[in-house]
Amino acid sequence: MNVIEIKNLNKVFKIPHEKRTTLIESIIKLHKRIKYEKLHALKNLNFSVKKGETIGVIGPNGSGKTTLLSIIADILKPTFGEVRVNGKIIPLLGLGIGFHPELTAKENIYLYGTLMGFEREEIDKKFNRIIKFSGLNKFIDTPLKDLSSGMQARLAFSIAIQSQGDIYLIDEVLAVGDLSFQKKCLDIIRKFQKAGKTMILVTQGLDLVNKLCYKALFLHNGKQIYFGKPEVAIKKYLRFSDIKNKNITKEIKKSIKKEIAIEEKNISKSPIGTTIKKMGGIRITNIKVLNEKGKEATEFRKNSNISIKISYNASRKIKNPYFGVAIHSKDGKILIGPNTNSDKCKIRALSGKGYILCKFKKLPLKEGEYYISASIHKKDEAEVFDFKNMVKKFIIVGDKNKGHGIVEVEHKWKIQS
Amino acid sequence: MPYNWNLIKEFVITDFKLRYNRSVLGFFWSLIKPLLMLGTLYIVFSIFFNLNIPNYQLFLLLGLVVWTFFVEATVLGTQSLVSKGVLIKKINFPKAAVVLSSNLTCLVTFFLNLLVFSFFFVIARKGIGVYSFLFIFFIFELFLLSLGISYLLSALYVKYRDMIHIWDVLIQVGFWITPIVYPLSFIPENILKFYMLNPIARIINDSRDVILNNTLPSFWHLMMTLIICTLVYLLGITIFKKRSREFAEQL
Repeated sequence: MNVIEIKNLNKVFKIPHEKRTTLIESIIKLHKRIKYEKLHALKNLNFSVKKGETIGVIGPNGSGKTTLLSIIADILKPTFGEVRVNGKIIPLLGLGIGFHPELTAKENIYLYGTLMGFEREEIDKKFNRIIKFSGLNKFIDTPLKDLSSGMQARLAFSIAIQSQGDIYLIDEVLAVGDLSFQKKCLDIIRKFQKAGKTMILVTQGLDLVNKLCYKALFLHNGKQIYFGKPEVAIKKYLRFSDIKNKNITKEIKKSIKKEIAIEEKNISKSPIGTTIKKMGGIRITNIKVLNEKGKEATEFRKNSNISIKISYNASRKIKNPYFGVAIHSKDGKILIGPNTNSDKCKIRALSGKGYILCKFKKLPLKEGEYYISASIHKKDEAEVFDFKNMVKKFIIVGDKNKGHGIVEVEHKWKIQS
Repeated sequence: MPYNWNLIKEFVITDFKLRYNRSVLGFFWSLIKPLLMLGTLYIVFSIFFNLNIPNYQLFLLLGLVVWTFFVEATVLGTQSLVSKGVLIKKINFPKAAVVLSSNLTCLVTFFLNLLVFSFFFVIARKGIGVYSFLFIFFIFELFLLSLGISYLLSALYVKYRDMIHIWDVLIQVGFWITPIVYPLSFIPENILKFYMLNPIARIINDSRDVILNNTLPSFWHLMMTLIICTLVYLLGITIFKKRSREFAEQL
């Protein structure tokens, strides 16, 4: 059963160019139209959450994670699109929000508990449990302002988890406590999972997503880049944010490697070795297979002239690069793999956008499916600017293949007896 | 809705605790302000201007107590949404509770001020009017009026941050176009009709009539006051409801 269903969700914030915050101003400038800057915070989100699932939401700051939770919690309204929620939501979008610093911890428990939807008698009953979980027994009658911010967050979390909801929205709140408290929180989350509660975690703790979540949603600039396996989402996030695996644990690294390995097993090794570290600076933006007339095509006849067009975009000046292109068979074997270096085609320097063509005359490939890779290197092959492995497919059609082998070259038989 | 009332109760308790800072003295401080005002106005008007009104201190105090409630409730009510802004942005709860609870807190103070009035009333050894029970009805009207204005202004204040200053100015003017320090008889007959459109003037005058003068305002006059207050309330709550969807975004 889907407890949360999100269809084509969009959220646009209107940010006025000049802010008219006063009534007087608004009246004086009534004739002028206000120009708005539109901030498209969420773009066409589509996903659903089943009962009992734990979903991780990851992405850089400002990618729309909190906005998404606020919409699910019915605090913000969607601009268009549909949000369907089945069940009682407990939003934890910032702990200790309802707290008042002048009141004591005890008084705050009642205030915050009421905000979370408790009756006073319910809080009476749960009071001891809350205090025990928070570990703040000594500070019941201390004004909240005298407690550390970590303690305040602990208190808030302890109250929040006592509430009986079906769906918990948790926004970056687990990171605040100390180690022992974090462990307690993890235990609680696991307990919730066993009890069949649905949870949505917004966090930068990729480790947590990997460990706890059934699925993950990766948002970038309000777009839903990926929704599915947590490992894949994390991998994509890491690729996007270009951090070199600094803050993640070995465990994740392992699972990511495994994932990449599976991906690469299916398509064999790259033409230039096993591990490739892309340096960037120049990117392959597009690869096209062109026919004799220079038009893009996917089907060719045997022995026709084929060109491969590699478009690039250099963000800085690249000196002495060389290009490589490879045609693979279906099982990943390289059939033809020329590069500009060994062909003595010198490229001095590149910058900005452009393309390079590699023309094959009378390509002697037999009927079948073929794949193209392309790469841009620096001096020696180990240093790669960019590399696209088997990203383009084309088909050779023709008469029935004659004989064995992978290529068909013009030939004649001569018999001597 | 039980949740709603729980929340309102908790808000009122919190506000009250914070206002009086858990000290008995805190409450006396809150009395100083109206009493000081009473003293000053009493001296100015009964001695310098020599208004010849029997029991002027009671006349003035009753007007001041009602007026003070009206001012406090509308000013705190207007600010209530903005001051609870963080909460509104993070938790989904009925926003009207915020405004209502701020007005209820002021109502508690109002009753405490009425105790002070009763004290003066007893000292003056004046007999209580037969129709005094109607005062409960006037309190209801007063609360309805303040709440309506609070809803309206608080919703506008979220977007227009000069609302509170505009209201401040209007209150300053209001003090003098309401029969607080002077009796209604000071108003020329030809403008009385417009003057009496001011609901707070009607409430203060009617309260004095039943408590101090032992006279009964006409039924239609009372109904008219109720209608004005109800209309203000409806206007306030309608605009508030319409705008409340946007609060989280605008705060």
